[in-house]
Amino acid sequence: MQYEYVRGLVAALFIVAQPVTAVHAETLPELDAMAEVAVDEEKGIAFAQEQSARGEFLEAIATLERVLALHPKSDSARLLHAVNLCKIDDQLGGAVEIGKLKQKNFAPELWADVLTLCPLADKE
Amino acid sequence: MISISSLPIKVALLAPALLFFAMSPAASAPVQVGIAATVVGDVRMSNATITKAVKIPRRQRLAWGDLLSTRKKSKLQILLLDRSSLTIGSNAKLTINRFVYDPGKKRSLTATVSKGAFRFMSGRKSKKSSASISSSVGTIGIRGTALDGVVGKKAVAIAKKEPFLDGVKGDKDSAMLVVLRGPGANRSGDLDVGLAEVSAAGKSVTLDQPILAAYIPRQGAQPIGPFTLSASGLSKLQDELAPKVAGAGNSGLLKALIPAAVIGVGVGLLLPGSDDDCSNSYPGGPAC
Repeated sequence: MQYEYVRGLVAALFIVAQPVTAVHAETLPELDAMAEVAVDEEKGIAFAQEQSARGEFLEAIATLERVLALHPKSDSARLLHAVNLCKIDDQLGGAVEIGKLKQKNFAPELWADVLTLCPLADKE
Repeated sequence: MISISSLPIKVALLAPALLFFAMSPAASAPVQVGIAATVVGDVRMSNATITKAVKIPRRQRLAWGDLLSTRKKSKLQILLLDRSSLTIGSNAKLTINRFVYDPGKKRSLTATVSKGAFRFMSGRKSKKSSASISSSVGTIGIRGTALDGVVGKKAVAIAKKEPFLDGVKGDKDSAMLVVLRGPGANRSGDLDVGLAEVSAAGKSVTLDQPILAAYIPRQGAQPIGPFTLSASGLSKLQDELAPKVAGAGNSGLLKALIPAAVIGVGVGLLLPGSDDDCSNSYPGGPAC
């Protein structure tokens, strides 16, 4: 049920997940693009999602840190940041981040998904 | 008058000296290795040419020998050419000593942190990759890692509350606390498991699991650890890396519009066993 819910969202928001900058930056202008994309909260989050989808979790975390530096109240960026920490097995770091968020601000299905990935957050 | 017979000898003698001069940092353009990807608050740079630190903007080019410093309520994230990142929090100082990157083959980084909180995250994989971060009390050798550290009075403040350290006294100028963040054995994807060696005074402590930490209380002291950093200690360290920065936006736009949906995409794509990955048919995306 919750997977169907997520799949529906994927389809609806696929446009958000379009590549927003170079996939493999190795030049300074490409790094510029990676820096600029995080200035916009929505684009920054979408870019981090692309990185996560490619398994580039460390880089996704770095992108979300850039977003959070400029948009510290972005619950969306913080939750994704926490999820990516859990994906690299930093369960405590993910739990600490999730502890800064309010469950009531998120859909129950989504929160349940997050706790599946970050079980320690349920205990903290 | 130059005699024809002596010319080859003089050229032979001069050539190495000329080559050395041409290759020396003073004679060549700075070796640019990355950019300031996030600049919030008051972030400054100095180097051999710019002796008085100047404020830098986002996208400032960074090179060997650059000293980056932040003041209160400030933050800097450096993106290097291999997409490794180095972040420093408020009231921190970091020097890029050297960075060499040959895509797919080799990457090496040496940096020095003299004050404040820092985070290093490895970028693209290379066959040979090494990174080391030093402070006045010790050196951290890094492999494929997300790693946090803090030098100075904040390190002492966090260490003071750690039960494992049992009240060991640290020097407020030089103490260094280091914690491995990952990737751990239960990571997703094909990331290498992270590892850090914290060395000082002839002893090395290996950090090979997330949240394992080491503490060097002062110059001349050996590292203490490994020990598991407490949740409150980790939270304080994270706060040092994400200070209440000056000039940051309030955001909330996304939260008001499509919060669950956007996060749902991310979580959906990251969930183990989800087959949603194949919906991202963009270049470089996962193979379906």
